[in-house]
Amino acid sequence: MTATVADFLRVAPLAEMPVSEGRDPAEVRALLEAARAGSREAFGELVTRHERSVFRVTLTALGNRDDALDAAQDAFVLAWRKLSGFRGEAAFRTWLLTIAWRKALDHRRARQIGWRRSAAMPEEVDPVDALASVGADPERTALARDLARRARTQIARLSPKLRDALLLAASGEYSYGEIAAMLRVPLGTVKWRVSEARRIIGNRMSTWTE
Amino acid sequence: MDRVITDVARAMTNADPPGGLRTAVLSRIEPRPAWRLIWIVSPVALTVLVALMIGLRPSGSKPEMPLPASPVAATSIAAAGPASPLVTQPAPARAASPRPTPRLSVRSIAALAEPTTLSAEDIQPDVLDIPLLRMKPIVTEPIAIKAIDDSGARQ
Repeated sequence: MTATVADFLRVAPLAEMPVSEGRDPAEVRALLEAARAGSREAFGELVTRHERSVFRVTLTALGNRDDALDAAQDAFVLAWRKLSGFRGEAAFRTWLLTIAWRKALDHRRARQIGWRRSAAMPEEVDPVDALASVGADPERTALARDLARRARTQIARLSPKLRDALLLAASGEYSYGEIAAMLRVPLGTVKWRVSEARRIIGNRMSTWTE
Repeated sequence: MDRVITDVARAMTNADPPGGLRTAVLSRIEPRPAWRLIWIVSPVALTVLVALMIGLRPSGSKPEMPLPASPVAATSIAAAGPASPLVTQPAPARAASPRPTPRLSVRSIAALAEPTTLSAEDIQPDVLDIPLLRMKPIVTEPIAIKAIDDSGARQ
């Protein structure tokens, strides 16, 4: 049963996640220099290149598209203001993701948003349901959908630290180094949190599947 | 189970931003303040201003250099005699100093044309008339010691 959901998706393993802690490519450095000099067009190009990863960061922290969009905008605006302080010690993408994560946490605190409460997206197709609706067998599809919903419930029940680490790692968008920079914890702590989150969810899910 | 968790977690965050995020961001950012340029331009402008003020100042308003000690006066004092306490000798170290001689204005040189002549008589003190001290000879009389009368003690 556990393989049913996974069979519907062909996802890249976590080991293939992009690694971008190194120096920025020359093209990005040129855009950065132009943006520092005041070019809004250059900064707009940087926004286009990173909007997806930034949006997913804020969505991970907030669980709500509207709030995530607001936080992503705030993050880019703050990055524009702080651009002169970026010294290139880390990759621009890592620096930007860290700003986005901090901004999303500010939104989470300021609006007292409960992640579980805002996770629902009634006006859209639930991506977790869509995950299990590809199959032809109605029974298998129903089982897979039920399993996915239970997994989502268990993820939402995790503590924020474990949930954040798990969602960021599982998104396939960020390397562990980037996650460590965003969460401001050592790399080993990120790995432990992800592992612990999986263990807790696995224990709870195995109780149900039995 | 791990794959289920991964798939579900990924599905929970797998969303693309709505279109127009770039436009929304660019509409919110203001032009970068030119404070860094101000930090560069301000010292340069200040330096140019000071240089202009120095260069455009009228020459007549230059403060006069303090007059050095008049060598003529020193010479006349020295001619009065070596006993005069007012004789001043120019410092040889200063004369040999490599520093450039300060340029004196025309007014300063005219003031030096007629130096006040000092004469040694004007400053010589009056002769002191102090009478010699005379001391009387000290006369001392010899000390006379009476003989001790010890007759009573023997009795």
